Amino acid sequence: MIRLDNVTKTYKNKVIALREISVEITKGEFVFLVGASGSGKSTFIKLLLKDTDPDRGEVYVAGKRLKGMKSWRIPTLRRDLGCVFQDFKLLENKTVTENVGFALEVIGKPRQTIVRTVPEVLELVGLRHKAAAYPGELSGGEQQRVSIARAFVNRPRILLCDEPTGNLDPTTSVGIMKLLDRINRTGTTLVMATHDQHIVDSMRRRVIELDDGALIRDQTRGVYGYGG
Amino acid sequence: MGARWRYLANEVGIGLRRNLLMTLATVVTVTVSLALLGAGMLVQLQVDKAQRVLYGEVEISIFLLDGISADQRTSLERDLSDTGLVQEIIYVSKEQAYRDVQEIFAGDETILESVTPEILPASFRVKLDDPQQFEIVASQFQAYPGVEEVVDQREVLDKFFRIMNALRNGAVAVALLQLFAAAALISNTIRITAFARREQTGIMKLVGATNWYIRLPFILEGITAGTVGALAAGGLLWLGEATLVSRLKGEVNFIPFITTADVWRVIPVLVLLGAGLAAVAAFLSLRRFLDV
Repeated sequence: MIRLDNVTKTYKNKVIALREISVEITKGEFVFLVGASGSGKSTFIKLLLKDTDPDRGEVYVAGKRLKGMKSWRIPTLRRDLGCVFQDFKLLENKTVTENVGFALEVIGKPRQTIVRTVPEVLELVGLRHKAAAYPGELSGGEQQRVSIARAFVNRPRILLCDEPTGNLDPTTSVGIMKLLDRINRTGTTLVMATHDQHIVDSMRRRVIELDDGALIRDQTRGVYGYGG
Repeated sequence: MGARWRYLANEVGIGLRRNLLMTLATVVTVTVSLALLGAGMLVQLQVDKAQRVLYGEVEISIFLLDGISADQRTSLERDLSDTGLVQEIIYVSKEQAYRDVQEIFAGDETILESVTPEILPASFRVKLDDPQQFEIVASQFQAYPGVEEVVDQREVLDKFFRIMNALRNGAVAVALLQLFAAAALISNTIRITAFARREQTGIMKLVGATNWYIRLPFILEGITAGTVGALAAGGLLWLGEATLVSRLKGEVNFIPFITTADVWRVIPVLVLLGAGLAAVAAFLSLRRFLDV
């Protein structure tokens, strides 16, 4: 589902974000991407989104080779990927329903599909009762659920989460993790970059650790730190 | 498709309202520039029309001395047609010339009062097969007995046309400057809109909206402003034709004037120009400010 072959990425200011990374993530896996700030986690996710290109190496996502992919094909790639971020990225002037529906609307889905699908996914994230609320009226956890609903509403094959619990308290984070776990169990491949040691330790899933751009650990059923 | 069109209409509406002042400035600038350009085009049409009729009607006037005898006049007319260069000869008597003046300057009392049949010379109006042969005819008849002066009427007209052409060039030059300003305003409006919508645009990119889908509202906004401006310019031209030219028509009836139909011919050109310019300005600024 995701494969990186000897990927190196250097930014313009000569900062090396990723060094010779090779990793493969298969369909349906749940993978934690851990490491300190600046270790290359965000760059990893940006590469998968083709938001940036590697200097060397190959990236394959959802059966597509990203090198040399024409810019007009990128939207098709992204329709296979859902994205969740630390800062939710919700539109303040749209209701929960509109925020989630927006993701379908702008890729040209018919009205009937939107009307049918959005309540379903809101049910899944447990926010059916907040459908008409605006993001400003919701708690952080609820906003992140909306964000997850929007990422998942098009049933992507891969869900990418960049610090999804970074702005949430531990109790709320547990709820979000339960939700992500449920989504993963539907067969969605899930990659989550995180700092949250407690979450990683309690979930016991595959852990990929980056340090200064290098892959220093790849462990099935791992924990946040060595020996943890 | 329903959702898509609703989305587009919504976005364009929001964008135009959000920058109401900028949009207004854009529309006004487009209006002024296209009105000037349209005026230039109408002047051109006017010149073409007048030229066709005036050059066709009047080629040469041979003014006669008051003392010319009937014999001299008859032989002059015969010799003129014998040159073989002449298509038509019309004799204009002093009385006829007076009636013409009265007609041309109808309503202009100061001129009419100062003109009497006595001061106007009689003349032959000569239409040549080929207007370029004026010099031949002029040199032959300049010294003819009873001839006061041979005048190429086109030279008189040329002065008038030169003024018209200068007017047209001025209008077009100012119009082009204004069009440039309009393009800059459209570009700036789009920059502001792109900034105001950057979150939304970011999300659209993430969820896989196509580049054209993201661009289209911006471009349509530009096109809407351009089209509204062009239509307003068309309205101004129509108003100008209905008031200014119509009044001239009542007073000056020796040349044909542009009509409302001509204004209707110019308007589609203005709309195409306005919309096209706006679309191009929008497209180019999107590459800079939207990164899609």
